[in-house]
Amino acid sequence: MLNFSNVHMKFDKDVLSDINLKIDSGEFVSILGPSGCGKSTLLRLASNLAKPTKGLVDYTSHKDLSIGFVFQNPTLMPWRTVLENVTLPLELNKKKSSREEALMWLARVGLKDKEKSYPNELSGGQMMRVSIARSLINGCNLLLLDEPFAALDEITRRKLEDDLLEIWEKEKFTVLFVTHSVSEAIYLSQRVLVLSSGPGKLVYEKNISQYNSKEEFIGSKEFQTINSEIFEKLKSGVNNE
Amino acid sequence: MNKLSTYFSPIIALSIIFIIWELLVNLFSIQLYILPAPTDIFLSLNDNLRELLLATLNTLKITLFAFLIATLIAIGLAIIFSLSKILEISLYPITVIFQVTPVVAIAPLIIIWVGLDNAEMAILILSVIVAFFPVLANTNLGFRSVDKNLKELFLINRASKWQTLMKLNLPYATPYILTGMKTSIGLALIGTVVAEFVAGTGSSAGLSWIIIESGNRLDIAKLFSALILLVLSGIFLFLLMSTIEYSILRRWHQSVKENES
Repeated sequence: MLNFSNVHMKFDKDVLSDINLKIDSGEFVSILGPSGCGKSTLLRLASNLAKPTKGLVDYTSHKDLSIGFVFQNPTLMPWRTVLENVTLPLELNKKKSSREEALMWLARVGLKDKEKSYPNELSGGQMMRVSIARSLINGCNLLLLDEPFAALDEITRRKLEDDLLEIWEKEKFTVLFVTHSVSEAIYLSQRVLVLSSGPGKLVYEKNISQYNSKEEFIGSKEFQTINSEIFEKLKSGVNNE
Repeated sequence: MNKLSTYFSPIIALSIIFIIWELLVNLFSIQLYILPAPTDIFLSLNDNLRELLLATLNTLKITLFAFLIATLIAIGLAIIFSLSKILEISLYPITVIFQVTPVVAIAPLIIIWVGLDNAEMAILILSVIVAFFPVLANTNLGFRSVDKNLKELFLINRASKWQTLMKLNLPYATPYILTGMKTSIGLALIGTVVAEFVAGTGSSAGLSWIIIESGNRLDIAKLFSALILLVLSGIFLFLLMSTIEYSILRRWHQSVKENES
């Protein structure tokens, strides 16, 4: 789906260095790392918003690549209703703006009756749900999320994580999920990557075995072990600075 | 403080000032050609109502027309600036020159260019020059304030420049544009009145001419009547813009929402 080959990225100083990464179609991958390690830059490279200074970012297997991007802030347009926010990508791609499709996505993110509301009438969690619906409406096959749930409380956060997982399990798009939270990364993904800081390098990679029930997984000894293992790697990544 | 007192307090304050004014004029027997009492002013207003109202309408007509043209030119220029950095760097200083030059100073030039018999056109042009800058500066600021992530969202969705302008930049800048327009509409009135003073003497039918004429004849009561109508025109224009602003931003903008709650 997505390949990073020997990717370097330099702004004023080196941000990312020697990134080699292959992400398979339908995979759910999380990226962890200290602040300023280039996690967001990695997403910008993946979405073609930025070009690497050296190396190559390319996509395989998908001719009709459709990228959905969920920012840290919901990034809604306050002058549009919830429904109009969700249909935006269809409008921009000159596809017929389908009200039914937007309503279906709103229902799937749990905002059935909110289509006529304006963003300032929603809670933080609801706004993020609109943002997710908007990123998926265009037949998205690569979803990039940049710390989307960082500003939410624990309960809201867990609900959104579960809803995102449920949609992903049905739609099987590829996910690249950037987060600060170790437990969130382990809970959500099939694979966790750890970046070190200054410049960002991939220092660790962990495949997460899939349990039938996430509840069971989160209570398991394995979850705790992986958690402390990744935490140690993160800490040493910071110390390398 | 309740809503009623918000409206009535200024009216009561103004009434008290009028009463004191009336008493002082009578007490010191001040001459009519120095300071007329409020009752004299209202009598004069009543006597010359038709002439005064026609002059007001004339001034308002040019003001509104100038305001509309100024707004269109300003938004147009801001759009051009947002599309081309080189044009912005080249042309923005020229717009600043227009802004900082006193309208009185360029009036003679404009009058010569459009012809002495064409006073209304000269007034219109001068008023546009006075009024366009706040809209330009605010629209420009609005365009430059567009949320970085929203811009990226449009890039990811491969939006065209036209789509980005119509669906992102203009709506995002709307509150800024409206703020500029609110300043601008007041300036358009000032511009029109000043231009009438300079350009319109004798040939203009606006309020300025009545002020000049009444001053020359020492008909100070009529002069005050014209002034009152000028003030009311200014208030009317401001309220008009505020109503437009409210109806556009009512549903979504924080500034309106906060005032309501």
